[in-house]
Amino acid sequence: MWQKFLENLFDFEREETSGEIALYRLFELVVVYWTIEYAWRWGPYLERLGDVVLPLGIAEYVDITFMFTSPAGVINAVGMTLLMAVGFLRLWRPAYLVALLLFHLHYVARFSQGEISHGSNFVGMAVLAIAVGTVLFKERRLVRRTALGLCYFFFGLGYTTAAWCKLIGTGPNWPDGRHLWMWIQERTVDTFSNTGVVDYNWLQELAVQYHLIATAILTFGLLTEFFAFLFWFKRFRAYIGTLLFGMHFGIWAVMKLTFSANTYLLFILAYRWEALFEAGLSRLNEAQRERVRRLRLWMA
Amino acid sequence: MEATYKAAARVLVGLFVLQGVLVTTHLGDFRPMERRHELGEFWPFSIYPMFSRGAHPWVRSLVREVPDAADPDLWQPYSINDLPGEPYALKRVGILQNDISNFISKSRTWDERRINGLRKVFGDELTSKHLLIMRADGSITGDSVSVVFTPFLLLAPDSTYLNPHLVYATH
Repeated sequence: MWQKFLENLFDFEREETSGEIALYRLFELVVVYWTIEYAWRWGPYLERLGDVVLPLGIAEYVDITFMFTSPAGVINAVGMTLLMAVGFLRLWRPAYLVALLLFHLHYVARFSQGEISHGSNFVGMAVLAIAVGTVLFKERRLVRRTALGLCYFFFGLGYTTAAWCKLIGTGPNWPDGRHLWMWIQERTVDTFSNTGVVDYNWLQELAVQYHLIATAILTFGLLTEFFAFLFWFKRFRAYIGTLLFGMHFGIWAVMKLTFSANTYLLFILAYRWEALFEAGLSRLNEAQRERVRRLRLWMA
Repeated sequence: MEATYKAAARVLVGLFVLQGVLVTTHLGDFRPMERRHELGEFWPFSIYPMFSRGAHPWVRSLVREVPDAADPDLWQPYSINDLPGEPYALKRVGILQNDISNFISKSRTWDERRINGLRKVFGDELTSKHLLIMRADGSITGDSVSVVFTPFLLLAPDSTYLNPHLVYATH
């Protein structure tokens, strides 16, 4: 059973297709993009901060206020950018691992003001998964399979633990629609503070008006998260991925919260996009296939 | 291939255990009550506890631009329909609402360093503006959600004023 579970995650025996290699490089590129995006979204902003309200991670042990002094945040962003590029270009195997350490420092400095943001966790876990795969194996095929397997596991685990937190934190009555009313009001204050305008969309008005609709929305979210561990298994991955998209769409529509990076990564991992690539490949003539073979060698 | 699976399994279990150790030792909910407010997770490991407490009262913040600090009636609680001053849109000046809300809700002491930390976030905006930071307390009773806005701090160009009706820990 344990072996079957591992095969579902890592699938080491199966031959790797050109489509899978291309898809992995796309996945890696998205991870690199989001890491650099966070590096530069947060780096210059750190100069505006002055004190640590909530020490997160390493900030509990080390004074990180030096990150608030110009130009520490920007320097860290430069370091993250260079290391991610070096990792992507396969110039130095530990590059992703070192980039992750700088990313951690960047995160704990940025969110030292009290909020614990989860928008970047999947990107961080993906960097960790790629870094671990790269350090563990030399054969690129094994690196790719290890990185993807770890992502399947920790993404599924993350959503399922979120469901357990709700059941432990509130109990089986967590989907009570009145709880959604509370969070809609909370988000409305946030929007008001951000824009200076109080604004409800039609779905929020519907949820606030009808308790049953609010309860149905929360029930769907809780059940989807609860069964997200099925993402570990190949046969359920696309179905669970689709439900998770639905849930994220609902969170965006009702709570005005987006988890863009998580959603993009899920979108790539949930479906067998490589099949589309293979279908396209089968239509090529011999000369074109040869070019793809050379490209495959370069990409791998 | 068996050795490859063994290596991957060791990493999987190792990271799973590492996640368990780091989350249980850093997540506020697993700490003694008196330290819960000050501890968080160990990024990127998380069990994603957001929105886990249904019906739990929440605290957010709202910033209003007011004419000056002289009005003694300024410090009373307000509803969303009778707020003092004018709206001050944080997005327009590139400040993130979560930072201000959490600064207000999670700060236990309000010493000089903390107040200066908050003033630094607003930067040059405070050279000419009086910004009233309000604490928004949300709670539910029966089927009704209520939100009360209480003036918390007034950031003026020359000084910072605290609500005289509230008690602030300074140590």
